[in-house]
Amino acid sequence: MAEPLIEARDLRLALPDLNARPLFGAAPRVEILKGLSFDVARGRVLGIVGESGSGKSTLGRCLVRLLEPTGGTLRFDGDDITHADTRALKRHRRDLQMIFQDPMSSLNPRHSVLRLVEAPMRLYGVANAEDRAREVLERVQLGGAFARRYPHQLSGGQRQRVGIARALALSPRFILADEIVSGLDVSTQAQIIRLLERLVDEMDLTLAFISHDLSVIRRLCHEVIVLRAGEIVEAGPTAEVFAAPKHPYTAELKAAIPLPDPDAGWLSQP
Amino acid sequence: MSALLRIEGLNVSVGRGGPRLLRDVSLSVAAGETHGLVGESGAGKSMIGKAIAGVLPRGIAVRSGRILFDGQDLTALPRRARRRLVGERIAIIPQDPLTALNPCRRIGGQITDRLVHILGWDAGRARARAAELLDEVAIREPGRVMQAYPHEVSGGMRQRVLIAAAFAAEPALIIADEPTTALDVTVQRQVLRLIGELQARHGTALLFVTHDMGVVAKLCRSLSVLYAGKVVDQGPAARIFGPDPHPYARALIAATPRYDRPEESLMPVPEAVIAALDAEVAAADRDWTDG
Repeated sequence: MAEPLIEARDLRLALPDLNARPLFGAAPRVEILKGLSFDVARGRVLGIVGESGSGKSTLGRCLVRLLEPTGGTLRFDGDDITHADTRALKRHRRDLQMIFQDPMSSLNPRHSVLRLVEAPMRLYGVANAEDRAREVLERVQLGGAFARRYPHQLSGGQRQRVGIARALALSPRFILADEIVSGLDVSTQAQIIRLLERLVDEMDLTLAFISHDLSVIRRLCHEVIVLRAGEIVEAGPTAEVFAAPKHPYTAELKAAIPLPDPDAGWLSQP
Repeated sequence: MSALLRIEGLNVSVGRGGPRLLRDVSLSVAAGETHGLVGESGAGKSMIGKAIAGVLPRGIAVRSGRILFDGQDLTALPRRARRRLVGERIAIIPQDPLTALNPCRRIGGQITDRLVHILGWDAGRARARAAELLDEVAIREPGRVMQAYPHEVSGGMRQRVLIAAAFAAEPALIIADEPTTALDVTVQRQVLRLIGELQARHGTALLFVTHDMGVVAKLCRSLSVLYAGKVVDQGPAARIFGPDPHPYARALIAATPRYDRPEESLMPVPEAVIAALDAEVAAADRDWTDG
């Protein structure tokens, strides 16, 4: 079996707890990720699910090394990048891309769509950046006149497509998508999910998809890890985890999702 | 059966002759009943709640139609009388508890405000009632929470505080505007259950605004589906989620991902459905003259 693209072993992150900082001296450390071990296989989509405060976004930031783990090891493509410094990370940076939750705050309002998508390529001196940008925009169904528009002229779904195009522009080997459909209307959300499903198929992407929405995770992800309070309570192939959750917390999360069927009993179930 | 709230042909627009935000909206809610208002962002669902409560943003006003509450037309009442009636009998649970609560004041006072200033209770009685309500919304240490500032308690706890505040004066109608959208699913379920229990116990009618087809299916017996400020489908949840929804309602349900049917294809609302709705809206606007 092929070696996984990302390998996390006993991954830990502790940060100073600024709320508990004494007047003098160092703040006590609070452990946010408590020894997580999992793989992201090549060409697969890993779902990371959990409630607020579970550490899912923090974990995501460690995976693309925006945060440095304080314990354990993180390997990308066989390389130990746990404590790699800026210079050592440089050759991996373009391979680790991110799509953000709120495109309005991650896109420069003064740049056109074309310029936004070109930007990462210009940074890395990619030849024919403009042609390549148009091609990527075409892929996310924002061809033609969209290139000249500005973020405020786009709908929420279109902005999110720009965010996706930007992440795809450098043909990265790994993409982290952090709650990228949660702010969208249901119809727009369905469009973005379908787009992602297609891109994953066509481009053989390796993706970590962070979401609090189990229904979205079930659709999009091959494997899933369920986080609670910085620990993995359950992991496995998505279909299996959903068919028979082993951990009561997973079952509880699943039972809490209101499916669109009228059912007065749902509220009173334990 | 006479309705507690009956809205008839309500039109709301920006300025005179400006764009219409609500288009001939009619609906009714019986005492103790839960009615859902669903639609995508910009459909006007929150606007209906604001029109009832009389808190439409500046420049936006009711142009025609009636809002009958317990037989009285709210739009025809003098401002003071309306404020008094709304203050006494209608309450709102807002979406974001952090912006709805004053960060500089302790929680207790924010619950008792309404009792003291609108209903004229004395402070001691109001405090006792607030503690009792916090207890009802399953807050373990009511005394401590009343002394706390909003930032000192969790999001789910803040939302419960607002629910307690809404039920405090025993209103006949509560308008809940996406009260659980910002919450985790497990907390959402607790909060919805709580609202349901309190509602049953106090016989309160509930107008529940949400974009979540799942939440409305679980909570509401009847609902109105809105598009561009127009009610496109209205009736019992059993019909709309069952055999005979309007094509737009059907499309919204089909666009909602569900973990139990991963193989079913997820369909965005088809363009043909949107085009048909837009044509309907345009036709209605041609016939509408600003009175």
